[in-house]
Amino acid sequence: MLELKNPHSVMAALETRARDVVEIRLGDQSPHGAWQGVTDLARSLGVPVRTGRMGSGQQKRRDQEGRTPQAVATVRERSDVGIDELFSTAGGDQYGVWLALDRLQDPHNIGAIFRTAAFYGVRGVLLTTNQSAPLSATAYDVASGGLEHVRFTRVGNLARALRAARDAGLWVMGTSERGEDELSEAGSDRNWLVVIGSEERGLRRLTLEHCDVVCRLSPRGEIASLNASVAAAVALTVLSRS
Amino acid sequence: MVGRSSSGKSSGRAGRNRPGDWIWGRRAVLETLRGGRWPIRDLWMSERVETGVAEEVRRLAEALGVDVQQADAEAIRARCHTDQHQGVLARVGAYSFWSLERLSEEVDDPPLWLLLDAVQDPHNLGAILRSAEILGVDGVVVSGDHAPISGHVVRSSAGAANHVRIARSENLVALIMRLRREGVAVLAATSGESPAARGCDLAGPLALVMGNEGHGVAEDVLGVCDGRIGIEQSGSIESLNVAVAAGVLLYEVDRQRRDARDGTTCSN
Repeated sequence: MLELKNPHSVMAALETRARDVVEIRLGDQSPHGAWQGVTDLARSLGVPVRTGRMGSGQQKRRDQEGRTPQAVATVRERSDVGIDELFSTAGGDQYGVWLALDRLQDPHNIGAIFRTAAFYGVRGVLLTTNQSAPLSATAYDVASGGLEHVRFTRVGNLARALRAARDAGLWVMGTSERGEDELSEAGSDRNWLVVIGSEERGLRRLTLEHCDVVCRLSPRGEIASLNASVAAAVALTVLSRS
Repeated sequence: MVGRSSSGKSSGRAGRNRPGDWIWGRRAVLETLRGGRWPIRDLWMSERVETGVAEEVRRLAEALGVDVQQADAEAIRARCHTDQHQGVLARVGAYSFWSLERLSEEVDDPPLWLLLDAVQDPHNLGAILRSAEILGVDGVVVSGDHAPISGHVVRSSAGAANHVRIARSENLVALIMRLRREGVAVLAATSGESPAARGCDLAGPLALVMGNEGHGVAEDVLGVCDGRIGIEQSGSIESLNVAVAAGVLLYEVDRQRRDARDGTTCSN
């Protein structure tokens, strides 16, 4: 069960799967701003809205703006889709982009990547389960609704999932500062699955072996690579230009 | 830091670190000792730190007149509440900002400024500093009710907070007007209907303004900018995380500048 504090993530859950929103608990003040819209929609959908029931312990985690939230929503986790379903739209008329997150450790990065993925209409996200941050309330809140709009599949064996992606007609692109190709030269004439490596260690050798191409983002300066969520966004920005 | 005002004006305290902010991990502490942006109040190191790193820490600390106190891993953990300290921990005072005057003298030609209007999340601020360093920003200016340049920001920035020049402005509107008089184009990042970055000429003198996580760039700041800039959306969500948006825009600036330089080289 998730305790969500960002009204935008709660709104997206209400709009897409209201039956999974168990209840919304308000603080002592009446809701304003984005929470006003959330509580209005929740009431109209028959989701319980309770007042003065937030509890001091639950107020500790501040929202993205660094403030104590006005309200907390209890929401069931969203379910994965099967890996075949994740890639099911690869045979359609329009090419698309998928993402694979290889052992990302930071729920902020995972959340920001889902938000970006929803912004760009990414078809699906693969996530590893081992040595990876779980899809926590922090990830949902940072995603600001993105986790409700993009399908995802968690896998134990990324190499096997990448093989399944290739079988489904996707091209696998690794991103690394040691890549030989420029990202900006990747064509939008095919389905791409972009693999984003972990914050500390980048892509594993076995993962690199399953890539059709490894691209670099033309980094400069003293630090080897961009933050994982920024690197993912840059890759999606470039690939979204057809 | 709870209950900060939502106004875009500086609240005075926001930019200062709490006394006793922590910076840990070999790389982060070494870079902090080298960078000199934070006064080191205390420095602890475990005996188990490898010789090369330990000697470097001692040498830098001695040059700064800071004692290296010995502590075992558990004692260090008790102070910073994490296992990720790698045997090195520093307690630091407030970050010393660059002065705006000095920053103005040291910018490249053409300059690239990044102005942050009340960015409040330390993760976002750290990620922005990291992108700023990699993508060639000359000066970052924080303003309004912003996250302090804390140990948390140092970690999120992967050390970039030690390398990027960061100044603080009490009056972003006045700074923007001054930059514009100096021939710098000032563009505010906004979601919704904004000209797409790749359609804008970003190769000249430029300042990008990024806004607060909740309400974006303040109206009075927007009012004095040359224009707006955005990122083309193709999916179902209307806005990006501020650190992600900053990274994407800076990448586009860097791309255009590299193209402009390469073009110049070819014609010579």
